[in-house]
Amino acid sequence: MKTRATVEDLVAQAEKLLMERKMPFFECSHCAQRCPYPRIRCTKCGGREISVKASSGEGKIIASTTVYRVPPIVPKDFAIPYEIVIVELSEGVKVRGNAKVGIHQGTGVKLDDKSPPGTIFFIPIDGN
Amino acid sequence: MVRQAAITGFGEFIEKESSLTLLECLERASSQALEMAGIERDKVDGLITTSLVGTFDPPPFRSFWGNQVAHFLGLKPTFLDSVEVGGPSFEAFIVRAMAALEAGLATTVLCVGGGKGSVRKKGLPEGSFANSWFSRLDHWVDFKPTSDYAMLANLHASRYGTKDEQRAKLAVEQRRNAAKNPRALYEKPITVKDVLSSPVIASPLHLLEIVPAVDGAHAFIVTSRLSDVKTQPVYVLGCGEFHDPTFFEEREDLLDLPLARSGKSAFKASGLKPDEMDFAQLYDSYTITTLLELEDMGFCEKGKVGRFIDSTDFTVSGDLPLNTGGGSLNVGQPGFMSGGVILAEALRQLMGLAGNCQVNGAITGLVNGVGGNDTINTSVTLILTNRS
Repeated sequence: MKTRATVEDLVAQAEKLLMERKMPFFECSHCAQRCPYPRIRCTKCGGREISVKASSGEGKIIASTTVYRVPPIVPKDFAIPYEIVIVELSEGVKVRGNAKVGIHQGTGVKLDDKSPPGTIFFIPIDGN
Repeated sequence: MVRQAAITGFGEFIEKESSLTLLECLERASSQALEMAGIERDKVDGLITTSLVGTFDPPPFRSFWGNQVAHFLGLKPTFLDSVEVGGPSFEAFIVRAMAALEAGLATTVLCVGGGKGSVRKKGLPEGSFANSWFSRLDHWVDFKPTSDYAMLANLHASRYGTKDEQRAKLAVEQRRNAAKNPRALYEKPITVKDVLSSPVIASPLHLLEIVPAVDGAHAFIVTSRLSDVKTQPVYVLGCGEFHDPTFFEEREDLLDLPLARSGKSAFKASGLKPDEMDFAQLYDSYTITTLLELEDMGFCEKGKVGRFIDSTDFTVSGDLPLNTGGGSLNVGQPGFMSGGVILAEALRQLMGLAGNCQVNGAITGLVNGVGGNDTINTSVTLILTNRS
């Protein structure tokens, strides 16, 4: 009998990819539904075989905001302002991340390979 | 819904930063509610509670919360439940209390919840996230829920052309209502310019568009013992809930929220239409929250809320009295949940207790609460009346 991955297995694989500067996502082996979060059952078909895939890291910004103030519980050395974005990856999965402050909705972006490993920071594909 | 049951009392205890523990805040609100309803503590045979992790005093022993509250209040109920859908838990209280009464599980239900925003401001509780991957994606990379609501505002603006000034008008008119409310934290009149020149917290949302966290609790009495009621009973004409736990970014359409589904259910159950409401108390964690509810509750056509805001007077004596006590933008949000603030104000209106904020001849009104683990996972709508 095939051993199914646990959530922690999926997280470990995703972490590994992210440390290699690849954006991971999770895919159902039955219906190919893709999502950004680890689950042991597909939310669409209920399938139990979920695998971790690496995205090209490229996509388009579909929502963004610039944060200028943060709550007092955030560490004092945390740099503001910063940008929060939702990126629709070319594989169809939507993920959260950070980006250059002031980046616009609709901008084509890719995962920055110069940011520290493990971070999810997007930069414009055209380099601007 | 059973018409032989009604909401007959409520209590509200709010302080900016209270020296009381959360359990004491819950007791204050509960006592007020019981006193208003004229019900002795020993007649309470149902209890429903809520609180959010990180909003009560240490030690944060959160398990068996219903037992802990019952113990502190000295209750031994035949029906005990906890609701945990965040902000709209208070509206969900009423739905569950009515169901318990209808099922014969209790005759008088005390619904009580709250929290201390001041505790949460001091630190996040350990283990806030479901697993390390959620932490990885959601920690300082994010500023939820403010950043999500900010993105909703940006999305609404880019899709429908909604303007910053239109969101700001909601804050301005709520403040005009707050000026008449002796319980409001903020009373000084503000202008659209004031709102838009207040600091941007997460673009495009400004400081004056964001609810301030405070400490406090709300309690409500729902009972089928109507023979010896001291106040004007308030009846539930219709209610609707919808829960969509999908994370914000996972939604197929980021602007497709659970609001419209709960609103539609409540209106269908009541047999009424939005233009028959004498007032609306809409969850106002941010101006964009209220703006989205105006559309999705059906007060205007989807995508046309900007023009609707421009042409509507939302003050107490206006076309659509909205958040008539100033809403939680001006009263404060106890324990990161505004559902109690808006429900209490609806009851004040329907019991004729709203003083200078009273809407003349208010008979029927709508309350909508929203919240959830992620941004707007739950919406609970109540349509209430004072006519039996």
